[in-house]
Amino acid sequence: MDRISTVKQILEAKFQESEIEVYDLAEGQDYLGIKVSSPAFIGKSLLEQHRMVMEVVKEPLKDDLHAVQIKTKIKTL
Amino acid sequence: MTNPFHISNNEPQRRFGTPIENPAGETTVQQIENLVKNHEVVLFMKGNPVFPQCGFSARAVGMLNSFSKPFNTFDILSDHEIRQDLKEYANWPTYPQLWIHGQLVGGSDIMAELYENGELEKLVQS
Repeated sequence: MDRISTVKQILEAKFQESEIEVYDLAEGQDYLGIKVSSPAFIGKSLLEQHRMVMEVVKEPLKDDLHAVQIKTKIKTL
Repeated sequence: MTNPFHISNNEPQRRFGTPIENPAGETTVQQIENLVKNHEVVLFMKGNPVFPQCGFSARAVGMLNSFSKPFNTFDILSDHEIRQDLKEYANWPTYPQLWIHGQLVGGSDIMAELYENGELEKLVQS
């Protein structure tokens, strides 16, 4: 399975009832964009929201965590 | 064609970042604490404001330069211990990291988001 699908699947497992997008920002998937809109972010600061996403993608991305662009949004149900 | 690397002495330079070298402190954690507590605005980056060594650090410097408020930078490539230990101290795994008044603001994505909505300037000027 390619990296985009792997990362998306892991995020979907962790963030329920959320909208998740994972996309290539450069050729060859060296630089990924991640968008998560989730009710899990309610009451969390932007810093905490990004930490929550990084915590989940840390393992599959390992050394490439540097090369992700993260956008988070609070989703109200 | 003008040389893009040429900086004329006649032009005022819009550059406000001052690198910090040899931070005081007995241990790495003390050095980190001195860096973030003794400087209002510190950007931990790869390289320095004149020669950033990565695109994310360059972007962060560009945002801070636009505010005309002096800030400090620390080159994490120059100190392996600080580079490793700050990730844990900050609970933040990547660089650049922007710290204001001893608090982590975030990395370049958070900076960009705050920059766009005007919050970053408020924080930097606070």
